Amino acid sequence: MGVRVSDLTRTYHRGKGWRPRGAEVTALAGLSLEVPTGEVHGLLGPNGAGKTTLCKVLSTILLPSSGSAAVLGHDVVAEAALVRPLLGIVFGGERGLYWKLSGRQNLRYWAALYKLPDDVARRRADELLERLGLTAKADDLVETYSRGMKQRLHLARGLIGDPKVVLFDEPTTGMDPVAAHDFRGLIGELRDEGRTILITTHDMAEAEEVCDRVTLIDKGRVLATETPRGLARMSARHRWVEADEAEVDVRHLPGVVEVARRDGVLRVRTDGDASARAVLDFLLDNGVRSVRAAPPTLEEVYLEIIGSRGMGV
Amino acid sequence: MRLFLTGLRVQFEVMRRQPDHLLTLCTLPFTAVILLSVVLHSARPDLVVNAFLAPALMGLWGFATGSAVEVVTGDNWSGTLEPGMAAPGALHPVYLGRIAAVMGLGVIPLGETWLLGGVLFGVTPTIHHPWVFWAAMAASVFAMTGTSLLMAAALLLSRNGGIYQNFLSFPIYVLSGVMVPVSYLPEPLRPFSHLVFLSWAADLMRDSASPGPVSAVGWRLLAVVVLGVVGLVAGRLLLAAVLRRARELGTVRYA
Repeated sequence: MGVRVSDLTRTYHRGKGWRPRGAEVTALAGLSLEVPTGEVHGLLGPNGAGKTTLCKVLSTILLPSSGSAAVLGHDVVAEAALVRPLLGIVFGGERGLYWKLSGRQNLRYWAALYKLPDDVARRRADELLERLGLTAKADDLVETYSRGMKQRLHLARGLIGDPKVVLFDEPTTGMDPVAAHDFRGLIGELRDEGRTILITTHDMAEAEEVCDRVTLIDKGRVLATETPRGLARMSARHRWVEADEAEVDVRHLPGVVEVARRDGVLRVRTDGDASARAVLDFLLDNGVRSVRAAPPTLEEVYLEIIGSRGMGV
Repeated sequence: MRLFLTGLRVQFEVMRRQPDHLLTLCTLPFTAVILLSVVLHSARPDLVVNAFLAPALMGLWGFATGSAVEVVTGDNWSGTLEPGMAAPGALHPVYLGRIAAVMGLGVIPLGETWLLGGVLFGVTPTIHHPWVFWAAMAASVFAMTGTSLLMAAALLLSRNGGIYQNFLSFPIYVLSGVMVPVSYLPEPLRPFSHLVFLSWAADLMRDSASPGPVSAVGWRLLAVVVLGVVGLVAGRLLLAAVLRRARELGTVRYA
C-alpha cells in the first residue's frame, strides 16, 4: 500500500504560549484513506477541509493527534526517518525556494538534504531541470523566474530525492494553461514510473484527467472515494442531457434545474430520470439530432456532495 | 560535515547576492570614528586599544545579531523550513554552516577598524602578543557561531524577533566590557559579564596589546571556547525542541 491512513485526527489549539490551550480546532476528524502503490489519487475538498493538514502529516511535518498514517508500510510518527527518503512533497505557490540562489543551486541544496552523493545530485538536478524545461534558466536567480517557472522548480525540488511517493499540494497554482497541461503529462510519466501520487487540488478538470481515484473530503472527514466516473454515478439526484447546436429553449420544461451553453453545446441538468427523458424527447421533437444523456462532471458531483458554500470555509 | 559545508556554500551565495547582509560594515565606521575621536581628543593613549577593539568586536556581534540569527526565521518566512523538516537530512548542521559563513565575515570589521584608524587618525595599536590576539579572535568567532545558533533557535519562537535583536546589542556591549572594561561595572553586574564570552575575549585581546606577559592565556581561551560550546549545544537542543514543538502544534511561534 502506498499510503494508508487510519482514523486520523488532528486538532489545533488557538492561543499563545509554549502549549496553547485555547479553543480547539479540528482539521482532521477520523479520516481513513488507502492509496495503493502506483495510484494517482486526488484529494478534493473546499478550503479548510483538511487536505493540506493530511499532506503535512504524511510528510512528517506535523504529528497526528490520534490515529495512524503510513507511507509504504512505514509509520509516519514511529518511523519518520524511514518515511522521509521515500517521500517528495510539492507545495503550491511561490514560497519554499531560495530566491537568491539559481534554480540549479536550489536543487543541489535540496539534494544535499536528501543525502544524495555529489555526483548523483549533480546528475539528478540536470535531469530534472531538463525534464521540466528549466535548463535555459538553470543558472539564473529564482527571483527572476516567472510564477510558472517557480512552480516547475517546486516540482523538480519535490522529485530530487527520487521519491516513491509524491505529495502535490495544489501543484498547478499559478501555472498558465500550457504549463498546467504539461504538468498533467508529467503526472502520467510519474505514474508510468510506478510512483504513488497524492494530489490535492481545486481543479476538477485536472483531477478528472489525471487521477485514478479521487477522495472528496470536508471538515476533516472522507465523504467519498471513487474513480472519477464512479463518483459521477454516485450523483444520483440529477441527470444531465447534452445536445449539439440546439437553439430551442428547454427552461420551461418540468424538472429542469439548470441550463448552460458552452462551445455550442447545450447542457441541461434535470432533477431525475423522468425529467431527463422528457428533455430528450422535447429536443428530438424539435429537430435536434445530436442528443445524449451525459454523466455529470466531477465539478458537478463535487458541488452536489459537498454543497455550495459560497465564500464560506 | 557535508550538510555543514552545504549550508556554508548556500549562505555565501545568498550574501554575495544580497548586500544587505554587509550592512554592519557600513555602520561600523561611524562607531569606530566616534570612539577613536573621543579617546584621541581626551589624550588617553592607554584607551586606544579599547577604541580599536570595541568596534571590531561590536562588528562581530553585529553580524551575529544582524544576519546569522535570521537564517532560521528567514527560512520560516520564505517557506523553506517546512520542506526542510520533511527532508531526511538534519537541519542543524545546515544552519550551523550558514551561521559560520556569516561569522566568517565577522573578522572584516577588525581590518576595517585598523584601516580607519591608520588612514583617518594615523594610529594603530601595537599587538605585542599576536598569537594570543588571533587565538582570542578565532575563539570568539567559534563562540559567536555557537551562540548565534542558540539565538537563531530562540528567535524562531517570537513574532517580534526584531525587538530582541535590538536588545541584544548595547546591553551586551556594556556587559561584555568590549569598550569599557568590566572592572568599571557595578559590583553586582560583574559576575554576569563572565557568562558572556566576549568579556573573556575582549580582556585577552586588550592584554595581547600590552608589552607585559599575558596571564592564564590557556584558561581564558578555554573559557571563551567552553561558553561557545555551551551556546552550540544549547542551540542544537533548542532548535530540536522548537522543531519538535512545531510538529506537535503546527506552528513554530511561541507568542
